Amino acid sequence: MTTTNPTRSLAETSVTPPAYRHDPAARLRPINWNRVGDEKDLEVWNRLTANFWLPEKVPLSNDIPAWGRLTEKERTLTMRVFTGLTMLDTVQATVGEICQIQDARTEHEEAVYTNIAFMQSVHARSYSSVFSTLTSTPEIDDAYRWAVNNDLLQQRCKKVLKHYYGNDPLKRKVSSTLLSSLLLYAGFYLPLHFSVHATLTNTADMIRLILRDKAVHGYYSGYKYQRGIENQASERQNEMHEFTYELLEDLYELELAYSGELYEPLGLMDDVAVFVRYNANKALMNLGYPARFSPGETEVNPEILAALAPSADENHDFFSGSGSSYVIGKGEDTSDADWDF
Amino acid sequence: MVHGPRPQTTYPIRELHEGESPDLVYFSSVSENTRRFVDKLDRPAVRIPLRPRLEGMIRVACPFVLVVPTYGGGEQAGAVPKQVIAFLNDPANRALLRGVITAGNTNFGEHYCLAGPIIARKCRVPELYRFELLGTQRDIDTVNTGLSRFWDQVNNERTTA
Repeated sequence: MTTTNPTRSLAETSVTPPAYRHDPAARLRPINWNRVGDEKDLEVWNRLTANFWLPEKVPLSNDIPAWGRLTEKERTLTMRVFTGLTMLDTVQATVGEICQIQDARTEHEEAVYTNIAFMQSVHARSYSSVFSTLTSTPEIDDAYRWAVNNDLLQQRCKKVLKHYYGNDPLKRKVSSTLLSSLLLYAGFYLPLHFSVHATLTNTADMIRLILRDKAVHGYYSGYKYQRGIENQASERQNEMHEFTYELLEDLYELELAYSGELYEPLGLMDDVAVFVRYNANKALMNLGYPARFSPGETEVNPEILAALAPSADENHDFFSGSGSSYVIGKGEDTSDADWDF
Repeated sequence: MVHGPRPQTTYPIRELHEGESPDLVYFSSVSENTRRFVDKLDRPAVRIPLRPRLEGMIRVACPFVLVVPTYGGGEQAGAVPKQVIAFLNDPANRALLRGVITAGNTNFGEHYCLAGPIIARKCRVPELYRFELLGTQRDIDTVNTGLSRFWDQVNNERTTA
């Protein structure tokens, strides 16, 4: 019998396609963006599509002279760092985002992961654009051989892949959020460092576009994690809390070992470690957890912070300013249209 | 063809009386990030409704500092949550705004905490502070101390004026 009961909603009497593998007999439902249960899904979808970009739009070839001025050591470091980033983005595009579709709480969440997965593929693709613009095929092949043979890079990936292919939906979310908000940042440090020294500035612009996307990706997985855990029993909440801090600790140790090999020869490792800790705290915040590292351990080099967000180092701390006089605001009339500056 | 001003969205108004109108007003989306920061300040605060059409938009009665998240990345339009715009479009609320504190994420680059300067410029109030995501304990302490001093200063100026 397939007669429909008008008093029951479609959501109760049908499933979305990923549920087929649990119940092949169930009726399938097409996604309906005109009936959105979680407003974050639509908000994030709109944000992601508004932020869409492609590496072809970034004038990477303007970095050719700067690339030529880098030392041999710096060139090798850059290629390895970017190949490492490509590795993580490949993991995230082909497994990390896709594996969360099966756990989605809404049909729109399923769609958001397809969008994020594609964008992660764009990120992975973008490093190849840098390579083809600045370097030669033998050098590229060398960097890829290095990536496949680097045990620490392999471990970083497999540490999260284990949970992506595991059977705990919340552990998938934690792993994915930590990858998007923590693991990539040792790599992002390098182009920000170069841009401080007016080197490879177009590549740095491309990295800023990637950073903007990662913020939304980490926020979204973290948000859905919090929705998933809020109604769990307290033992389960404790288990996940413990799991998260343990995984963070493991990944942090791996980050230091992996980045140490790369950055120590250039004397940058202390700075990189601070940047990793700063982002580890942000990853935890995305998951709704308090910071792991103290303010003293996360004071990012102001130049790097300025390369990341130009206004972050300006003094927007009115509270700490001395003698700032208070100005009474003369409010002007505002309307909705006024806010589209 | 004449284009009039865009029609103003209007909501039912829920008036707060002097005794129940705190000096801290905030907005937080369903992610609850900003609410968590405000909770940790441990000061009386009122939340701008998520669904003003259903819950009614609040109208405050006392001077206040506003805490808002920035809807990050991309264009300036959309940086200030639409509920905050609706709240500030009410001249009564706008007249009592004394400063703005903004949450954001440095990953958004030049748009980091963009809602802060937009509101500060539009409403001619100082941008008091910026913090990332849920804020750290250091942010909580700075804002708590800062707000106490700020209100002392405002009250002193009022009595000496």
